[in-house]
Formats: sequence, C-alpha cells, structure tokens
Amino acid sequence: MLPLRNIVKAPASTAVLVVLSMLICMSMFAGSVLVLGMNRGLKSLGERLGADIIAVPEDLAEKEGLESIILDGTPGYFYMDSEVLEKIRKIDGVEAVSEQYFLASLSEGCCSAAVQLIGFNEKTDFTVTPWVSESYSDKLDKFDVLVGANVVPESGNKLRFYDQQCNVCAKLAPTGTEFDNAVFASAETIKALMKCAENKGISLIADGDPDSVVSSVYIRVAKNADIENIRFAINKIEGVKAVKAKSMLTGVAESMNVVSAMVKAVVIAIWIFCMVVIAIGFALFVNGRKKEFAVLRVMGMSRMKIAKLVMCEALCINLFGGVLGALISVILLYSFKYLIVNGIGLPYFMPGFPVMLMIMILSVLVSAVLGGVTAFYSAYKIARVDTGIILREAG
Amino acid sequence: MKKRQFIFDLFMLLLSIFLTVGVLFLFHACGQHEDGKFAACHWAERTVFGVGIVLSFITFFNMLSKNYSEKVAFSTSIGFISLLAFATPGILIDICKMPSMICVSAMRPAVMIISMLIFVVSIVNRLFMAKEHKEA
Repeated sequence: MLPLRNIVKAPASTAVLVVLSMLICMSMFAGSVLVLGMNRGLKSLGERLGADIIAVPEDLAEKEGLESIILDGTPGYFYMDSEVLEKIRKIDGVEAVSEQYFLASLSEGCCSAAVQLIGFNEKTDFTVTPWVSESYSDKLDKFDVLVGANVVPESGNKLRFYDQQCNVCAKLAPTGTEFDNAVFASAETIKALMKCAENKGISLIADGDPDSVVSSVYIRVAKNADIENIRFAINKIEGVKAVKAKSMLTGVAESMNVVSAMVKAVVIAIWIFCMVVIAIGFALFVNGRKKEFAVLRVMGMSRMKIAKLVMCEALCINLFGGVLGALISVILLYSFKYLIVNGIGLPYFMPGFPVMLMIMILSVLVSAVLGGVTAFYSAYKIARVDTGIILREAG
Repeated sequence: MKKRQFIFDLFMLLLSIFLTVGVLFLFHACGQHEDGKFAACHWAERTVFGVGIVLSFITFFNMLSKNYSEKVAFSTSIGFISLLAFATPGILIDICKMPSMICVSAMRPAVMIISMLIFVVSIVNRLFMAKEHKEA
C-alpha cells in the first residue's frame, strides 16, 4: 500500500511518468499491430492473386503502372480486344487462361460510392473462384453479385448499378486487400451492365459490343514451362502488357518493407526518448523525497527495503501507464482502422483478437519492465544515501 | 480544489472547441456528389458543428462560473450534450455505408471518441465536485 500512497501523493509527477510510460506501450503496441497487419495483408494478397502472369492493355499499363491497376483498386475500366485471349491460350506452356472484365459503378444517389465491378468467367476462372467459394458456392445468375467485405448492400440485399438492380448473393470474407471494396459478378452480368451504361449514354467500348473486349487475362503456366519466356511471348502480342504476379508482389513487399522500417524507427526513437525522460523524471521524483527516505531509514527500514519501495513505485506507475496506453491504442486502432488502411495504401489485414490480446499483454509487460530498468539507478542511489547528511542539511 | 477544477474545465473547453473546429476541417464528412446533392453525412457534420458550438459556449461559461449550483447545472448539461454529439453520426443521422468513405473512417470515430471523452470528464468532474462540496 505504501508505494501506491506515495504515488497518489504526488499526482503531477506521477501523471508525467504515466504519460511517458503510456507512450512506450502505445508505440510498441501500435507499431507491432501495424507491421503484423501489413504482413498479413501481403500474405492474403498473394493467396488471392492465384495466377503466374497477368496481362492488361499496354497503353494503360504504361500510363498507370500495373501494380496500381490490379492492387490499388481505384474504380476504373479498361479493355482490350477479346481475341487476345485465344492468342495467349495458344502459347506453348500456358496451362490455363481466364479473363476478367472491369467496370466502375457511378457514385449516384445518397450514401453511395463508386465501386469496382469485377466480372469473371465462371467456367475458366481459377483466381477468384477458389476464395469466393468459401462464402458462396452456387452458380451466379444474371444480375447476381457477390460483394467484398466493405461493400454494404441497400435494403433487401440489392445494389443498383446503371439503373439496373442486382441481387447480392453473399458477402465475401475480409481479405485486407482492395478486393474488400469490390463487387464480383459473372462475365454475363458485367456485359449486361456495360450495355446498361451505354443506354445511360456512358460510352465504355469503342464499337459498343461488350463481347468483343476483355479487361485483363490471368494466366497459369504449366509446371515445367519457363514463366519469363511465356511473358515475353505475351508481350509480343500487339496492345498487351504482361507481368509476373510474383514480381508485382515483390514490388508491394518492397513498399511494405519501407513502411515497416519507418514504423520501427519511429518506435525505437519514441522508446529512447521516453526511457531517457522517465529515467531523469524518476531521478528527480526520488531526489525530491530524500528527506522522506532518510526518515524511513532512521525509523529502521533497511536499504534493501527502500530500494524495493522505489522499484515498486516505478513498476506501479509503468504498469498503470502501460495498461492505459494499450487500451488507448486498441480504441484508436479499431476506431480508425479504415483510415489507417486508406492512409497506408498497402494491403492491411488487422490481426485477430487473440493475437491482439497477446501483443497487448506483451507491450504492457515490456513497458513495465523498461520503466523498472530506468528506475533501477535511482533506487540504487537513494538506498545508498547517507541519512545523517540529509537530515543535517534539512536542519 | 481550484487547480483541479480549472484543469477539468479547461480540458472540457478545449475538447469542445476541438470537436467544433475539427468536424469542419479535420474529420469532416464526404463532399458534394457529382449530381450536386449532399449525402446524409453532410447533415450529420452540420449537426455536430452546431452541437459543438453549444458545447463550447457552455464549457466556457462553466469555466467562468464560481457558483457551485451553476457549475453542477453546467456540468450535467455538458454530459448530456456530449452524448447528443456522440449519437449524431450514425445513430441519429445516417452516414455513408462504405467504410472507405471519409465520414465512416474518420468523422464518426473522431466525433464519438471526443464526445465520449467530454462525457467521461464531465461525469468525473461532477463526482469530484460532489465530494469536495460534501467535505466543505
């Protein structure tokens, strides 16, 4: 009880030390969750891509960059001649080919935003179907759609695109990628929606025939085939740009490493700053109570007990600060998770509750121990102080 | 007591001003649609701004007041009005549905956290005031 009473007696000093300890815990907790979330996002993205090579229109790839087209998820549409599909299929070493159709919805009416509509060929698809089937395994009829985890259907599980009402059959599990903001449908539905857009006066395709175009082609290479050679062969086709999915992931991983390194640097800087300030603050806090400790010594308290008392006070302050910091971090990370995801601009998949709890306990313990370490010198010094000198100085 | 009271009053005033100014410039709602219409979140933002102004005035007068009964009344009304601000985006007035929208990702959590903080401070302040008044 004595350490707690001593802490409560000096609210201003305690508050400053608690805030610093809180910062240590917050930086460790938030930093760990961010880095872990990004790693999970990258893993999830790798699992979702599912193709060896991705081909898109050449002019678009040069203008926007393939990564931003496929990964950024900014609603848009782009098309190339559907004959490309057959040309790619005929290349030696190509095991499977499947096309996708991209269409952006309009942001119309109240409370709606433009979303990316992705159409896939149910017969040939090998990229979307494996993970879509976890949520929905039936056949998609015309104007049936599947929505990403962040897309909210209107009342009655309906969504309206270009004045055409679509049935929402299922909501897909969160992936931490931009697929969470997309709407998936069969190729037939997307082609019908393209026609609806044309009817509204929005010209998407030059010749107006949705059957003559595809947006992207996903290619799976045979086991013993050379991916680089196939990519080279696809790039020879006029108006097509192909890229290895792996190299795209490497690009994302590189950006992620930069962000991770920055997060780690900020966390370490906060740690060093807080530990130095806590050490100084605690030394001042203990020094200002020299008389009190001298009186305790006169009353018969051993040096070891005084050191223990100081260490106990430090532990209480840092433990309280740590718990407070972890709680604030959880509230902020959960409340602003979408803002964080949008801000990072990289795949981000927040860890689940058990992992979060583990990180939370670890952060609190580390901040408490670090606080204890910084108080060690003060405890050692005050325990060795000469009682007589202090009491004489005090008069 | 005076020092504690001053810190609590100042904290509530600063939070109220932050809520009022922040909802306009920092954690605002979605902008105008291409068709010229505003989403419902825009009106939620306006309402929070209005509630924020009222809160700022009450917390300011609460700071100036020295009378115990007046301070009790101010503190209680601050608590209730902060709850009103808390409930405005998403509960009393609809906001957008997509989590990627700025009103969902920034405005609602920010308004909720700040107004809940004002509410908690006003309750704690009220409890301290009652205790100190009893002791006096």
